[in-house]
Amino acid sequence: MQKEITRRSFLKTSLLGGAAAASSLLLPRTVRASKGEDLCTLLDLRKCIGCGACVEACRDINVHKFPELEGPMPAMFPRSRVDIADWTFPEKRAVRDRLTPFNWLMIQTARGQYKGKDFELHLPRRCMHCHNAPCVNLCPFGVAFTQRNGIVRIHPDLCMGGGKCKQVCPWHIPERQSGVGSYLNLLPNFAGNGVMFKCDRCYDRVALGELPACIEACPKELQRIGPRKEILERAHRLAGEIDGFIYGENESGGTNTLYVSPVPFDVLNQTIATGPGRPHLKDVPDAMTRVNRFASALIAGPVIGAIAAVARRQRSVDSSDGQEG
Amino acid sequence: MLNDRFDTYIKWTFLAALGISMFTGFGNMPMWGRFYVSDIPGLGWSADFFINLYVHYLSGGVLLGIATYSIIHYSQRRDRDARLSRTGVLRVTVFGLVLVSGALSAVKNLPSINLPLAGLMALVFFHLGAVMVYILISLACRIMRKPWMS
Repeated sequence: MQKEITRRSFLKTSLLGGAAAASSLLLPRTVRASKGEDLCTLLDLRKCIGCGACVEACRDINVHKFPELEGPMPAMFPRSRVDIADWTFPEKRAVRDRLTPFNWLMIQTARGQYKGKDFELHLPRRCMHCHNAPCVNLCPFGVAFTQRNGIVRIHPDLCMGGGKCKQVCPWHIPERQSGVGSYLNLLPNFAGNGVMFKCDRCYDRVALGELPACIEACPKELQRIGPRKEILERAHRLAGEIDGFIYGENESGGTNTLYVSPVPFDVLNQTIATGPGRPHLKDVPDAMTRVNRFASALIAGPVIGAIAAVARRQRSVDSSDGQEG
Repeated sequence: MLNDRFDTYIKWTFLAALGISMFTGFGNMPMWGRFYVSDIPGLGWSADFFINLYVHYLSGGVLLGIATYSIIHYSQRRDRDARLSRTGVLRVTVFGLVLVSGALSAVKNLPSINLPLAGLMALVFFHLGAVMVYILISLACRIMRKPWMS
């Protein structure tokens, strides 16, 4: 039995049983993956033609989640230190070649030579949905969170736009829109700076048993989505078949986005345009492993404290025994 | 004499760890970079969220150590007359809540722990709120010269 939901299977089911029947057929599989099991996507990069259908679908489906300024941009102090990001102008809103608050998915193109052969690969890039996401762990207000199905989200009504999530994200994925969000109701001149936006894997569609927009719209069936264990097995099988490489399995301690490519990712990384809004393809160590190593101080401290107290008590008893003797 | 010196050492270590914890705790919010604190020579690290968190954990470990030491030490004391005052009990209780919520905040960062949004926010704001309450109570006790022990 095919475990993953593919665009083809979705369309087939829809044609056969109608939309209602399709929803009911898809629902159990998605819900099964939702109950404590991470949903993971597999992107076979050989298939991507860079047509941008996924980018357009993402923008169309998620348009109701995009930020809208409801008043003038507040004067934020100190101006020289506040990075005001306003993407609401039409020409900026239309940007598609990088991640923005209005563009949660972008396509990078890698061209070059590998093993003496020319290659051209296209890479849809968005949030990787890390298993133990630094953005979730380090958000100072706890408004970045991981759903039980592994989807990493930033709550748009609660985010203050400080951008810590972007700084600690290994790929610096979240993008800020200033002048919107809850900080306007607090001290907009002195604290906060808008809301951070990124791919939310169409969590609302997934909750209804539907596919994320980018997967459904792809004419080449580039992506598969399913339980991480099964997707990981499939990724390894595919990488074995094509003598390829996997990105996202171990990066940042493991993510729920797996790219499979016939060209090594360090080679691809040298040929893609990287920078603000354009994530890299470097090896990424797990930042949270180091954080959790430092957390061992919270165990060592009490142990040392207990030893010191017992030692002091012992010395005090020895001392009083000596005086009595 | 030796014990007096040790108590003084513990007291100053506590105050230093408390100060560092508060500095790095508030530094977990994107404030020090914005308000030039990280421009002060020697404090450049405070704008790095990871280093900030490492230092916060280390100072938190020291505070937990002193708290454990104090609980065991004072529970073993022979002079039963030495008891915490009412404000002392209040300060110890609130500080205990700060430490427990801080330790839980570290636990939630483990890979196998996944709190829902409400749980994350409750933990974060409880820790922050408990620290604020502790600061206010401590200041009030200092101003009103309330002793720890009765």
